[in-house]
Amino acid sequence: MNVVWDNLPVILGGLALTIQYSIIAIILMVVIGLVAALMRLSKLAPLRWIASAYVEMFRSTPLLVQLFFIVLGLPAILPLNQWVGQLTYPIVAAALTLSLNEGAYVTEIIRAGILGVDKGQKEAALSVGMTDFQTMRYIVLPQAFKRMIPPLVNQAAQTIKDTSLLAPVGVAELVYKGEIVIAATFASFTIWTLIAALYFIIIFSVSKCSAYLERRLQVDKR
Amino acid sequence: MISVKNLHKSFGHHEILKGISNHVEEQEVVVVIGPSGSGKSTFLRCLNGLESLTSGEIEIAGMNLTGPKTDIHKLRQHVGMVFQQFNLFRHLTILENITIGPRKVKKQSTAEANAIARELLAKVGLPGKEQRYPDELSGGQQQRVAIARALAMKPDVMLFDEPTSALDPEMVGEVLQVMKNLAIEGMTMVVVTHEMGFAREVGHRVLFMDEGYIVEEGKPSDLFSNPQMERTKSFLAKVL
Ligand SMILES: Nc1ncnc2c1ncn2[C@@H]1O[C@H](COP(=O)(O)OP(=O)(O)OP(=O)(O)O)[C@@H](O)[C@H]1O
Ligand SMILES: [Mg+2]
Repeated sequence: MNVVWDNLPVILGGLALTIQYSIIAIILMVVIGLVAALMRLSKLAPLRWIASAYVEMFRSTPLLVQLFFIVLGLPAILPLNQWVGQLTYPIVAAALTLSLNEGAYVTEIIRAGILGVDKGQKEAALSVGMTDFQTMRYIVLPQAFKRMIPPLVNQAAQTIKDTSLLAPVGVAELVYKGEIVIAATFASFTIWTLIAALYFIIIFSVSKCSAYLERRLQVDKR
Repeated sequence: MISVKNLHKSFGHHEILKGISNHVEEQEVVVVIGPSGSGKSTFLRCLNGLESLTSGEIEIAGMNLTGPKTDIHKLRQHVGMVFQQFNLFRHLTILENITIGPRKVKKQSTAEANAIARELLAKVGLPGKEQRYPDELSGGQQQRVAIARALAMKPDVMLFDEPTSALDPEMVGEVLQVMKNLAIEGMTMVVVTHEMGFAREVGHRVLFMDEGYIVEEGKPSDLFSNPQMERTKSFLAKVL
C-alpha cells in the first residue's frame, strides 16, 4: 500500500490531465458533431461531401494512428511547432485529434437523432412561417436531443477511455504517469489496479448521472 | 385570394398533378374531394410551398409563390395549414404550441402571444388546457389546438388536409364544428375531406379531383345531386 500512498500525487496529477482532456474532448466532440451532422443534412451537396469525407476518414482509421499522424507526423512536413509553439502544438493537436475522432461518431448519433424526429414536426413548423434554422433550433433539435442522450453518454464514456491512447504521443495523463511510477517501483499489479479503479469510478458515475438526468427529462417533458 | 394556373407536379418521372387551374375568392370555402392518390394532398401542399412546383403559377394571399424574389417564409405566415396527423409540437405545452409561431416568427411579446392563445383556446372550446402536453389530449382536442396554432398567425387563408380522417368517429363533430364557425366568420378555406355532410353544408364550391386533374367542380348541391362526368358519378356512388 505504501507504493500507492507514495506515488499518489503523481497518479492524481495524471488523473487531473485525463479529466481535463476528457472534458475538452467531450465538449468539442458535441460541437463538431452538431456542425458536421447539420452539414450532412444540408441541401448543399459540397457541405454534405465534406462532412461525409470527414466522418469516413476518422471512423475508418485507428485513433492511435490518427494521433501519431497528426501529433508527430504532420510537424515533420509542416512547421507547425513553430507556428503554434514547440510545447503547445502536441497538447493542442492531441486534444483536437481526439475531439475530431469522437466527433465523427457523434455526427452519426446526432444525424440519426434528427432523422428520427417525425417529418410532420418540421412541416408544421415551416407552415407557421419558421425558417429552416428556427425549425431546427426550436422544434427538431429539442426533440432529437432527448433520444440522443443515451448514445451520447456512451460516446462520452468511450472518450474518457480513449484519452488513455494519448499516452504514446506524450500527454502525461493517467496511463502515462502510471507507466512512470511502474518503471520506478516495479509495482505493476498494484498500479494498474489503481488506474483501472480510477477509470471505473469516473465512467461509472458519468453513466449513473446521465441515467438520472434521462429519467428527469422523461417525467417533466414527454 | 388564391389563383392557380396550369400547375404541374412530378415526383421523379411520376406526374401527380397534370395541369390544375383554379381560383378561390376571398371568404370562399372550397372543398376538395377525390379518391386516394388523386393528388389532393399534393395540391394543397403546393399552395404553401411545402412541395415545390414542377411548373405553373400560384398566387396566394396577395403574394406570388412562384416569383423569383418571393420570401416563402413570409408567404407561409399568411397561409395556415392543418394536417391529418395534427403534428402538434410534442415537446411543447399547448400554450407554447400556439405561441411559438407568433413569438419566433412575428416577434410578438410572450404576454401578447399568450393572451391571443388563450382567446383562441376558448374559441376552439379548450380553455384551461394551456399547460398540458399534446400527448395528454384526445385526437379531437389535438386537432382543435392545431387549428388554434394556425389561427394564431392571423392567416388570410386556411388549408385543411383531411383534418378529421385520423379521428375516432365521436370526435369528428367537434372539429368540424370549429371549422364551420371559422367559415361563418368569413375565413377563406380550402378543405380536403371525405366528410360529404360538411362539404354540402359548409362548402361554397366542391372540386372533384382524380388522377391529377380537377375533373369537375360546382356548387355542392349541384355536384352531389347532379354530377356530369362518369368518374364523378362512380366516385360519389361509392362515398355517398
Ligand atoms: N414525396 C413523395 N414522393 C413520391 N411520391 C409521392 C410523394 N408524395 C405523394 N406521392 C404520390 O403522389 C400520389 C398522390 O398523393 P397525394 O398524397 O397527393 O394523394 P391524395 O389524393 O392526398 O390521397 P389520400 O386520399 O390517400 O390522402 C400518390 O400516388 C403518392 O404515392
Ligand atoms: Mg392526402
